[in-house]
Amino acid sequence: MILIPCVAPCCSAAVWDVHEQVAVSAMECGCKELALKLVKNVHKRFPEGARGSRLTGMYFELMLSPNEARSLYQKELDRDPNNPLMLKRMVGLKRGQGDLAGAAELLKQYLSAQGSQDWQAWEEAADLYLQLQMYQQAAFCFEELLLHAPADATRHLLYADTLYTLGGAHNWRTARTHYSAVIEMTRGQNLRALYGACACAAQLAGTRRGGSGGGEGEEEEGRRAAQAPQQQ
Amino acid sequence: MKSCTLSEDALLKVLLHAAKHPTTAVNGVLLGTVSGGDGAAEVSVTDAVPACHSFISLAPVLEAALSQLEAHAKEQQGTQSGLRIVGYYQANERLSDGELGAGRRFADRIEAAWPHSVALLLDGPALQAGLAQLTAAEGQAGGSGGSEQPVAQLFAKDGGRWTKVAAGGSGGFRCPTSGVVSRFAQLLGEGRHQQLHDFEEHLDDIALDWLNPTLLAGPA
Repeated sequence: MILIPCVAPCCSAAVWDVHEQVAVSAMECGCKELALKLVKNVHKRFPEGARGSRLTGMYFELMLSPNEARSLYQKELDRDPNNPLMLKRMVGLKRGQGDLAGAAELLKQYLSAQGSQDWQAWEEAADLYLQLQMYQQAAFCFEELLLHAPADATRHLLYADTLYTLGGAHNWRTARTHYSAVIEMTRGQNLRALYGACACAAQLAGTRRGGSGGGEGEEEEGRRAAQAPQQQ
Repeated sequence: MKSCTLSEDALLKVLLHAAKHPTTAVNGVLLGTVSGGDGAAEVSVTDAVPACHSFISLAPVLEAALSQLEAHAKEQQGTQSGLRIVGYYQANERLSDGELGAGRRFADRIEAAWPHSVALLLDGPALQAGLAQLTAAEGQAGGSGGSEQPVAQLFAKDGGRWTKVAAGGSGGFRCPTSGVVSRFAQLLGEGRHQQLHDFEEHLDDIALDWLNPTLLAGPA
């Protein structure tokens, strides 16, 4: 955390980017004094503006003053109702307050209106829906993410896990397809995919052990992979 | 269920698992023994095995952990007779959240497969208060910790619903309180929570021992 606090507000805009990044990191670590110092500096340099308000609002949230944060974000949203920074902060605020349904609804509106290419927002939406146990909606979010990055094994795994949790023969078959895709992508090295494929085969066969057809081959691989040495 | 006794080691493992992943919810499985039949079951939780630290509402990782633990418990019958899966634990993302949420579904499935199983939830506010009390006591030289509250809540299945079981006194939940928070703070200070590995980490690196058998051994 090397910040040069002695550097006077100079012409370089990069210094303020660094202020912002370090302030956010300090808040994540709970370093309240450092965060306050940085947020004050930013506010002095940029008294108006959404980016500055975002940092100040985040500091209010850290200090457990959600109402101050909310009114700050709302003030900015009154000026520009489509400001993505403020909309996302509102989602974060609602999530921090435990209003997951409200956060998910707000995020859904943002994604429908302007955020369809905002992949971080889709990931956040998927996370919120999973916490709300709205697995169908979470699966939809993962589908969008897969369209964007079809070679991302992690997204395939999350999508397959969501379908498996949702349950039903159709979902287990689709999940098995995605687990198989990850096994192929990783040349059989991904244990989660191997376990997932075994679990789908077992569910489809209706028993805890044994599969049928292609499921048997996958189970054998899963067994072999699962026989890795355990520490004593 | 008549009563449930939680061992200090199991509770510390739950706390360390939550401490290793402070920004997400975590869950895991409880191991122990059950004696007595319906209505008079006495559950003794002797170990906590961490399972997931990301997307705990997804089933596959927990299910794989459960089947591995079932096999592990069978293998241990020689040294620890009667060892079995006795419950599910969870620590929520937000400290103030005192609900099982998605964990209720998993607790139901575990209880259906392993009768008399319980569900344990980390009590965020109690833990916060305990740590604050500890800091204040350390500030006053020679000060005592004051009254210590249990830092976990227990739920037991009662006619299809999960109901909270009161701790201490006439309640059925025997939760260790004396010195738990200070031992936890000491382990945290040593960085012991970084040495804990859950099943999810084991899936990424199979050499990591997710049973954490020697985690709490040694001075603390």
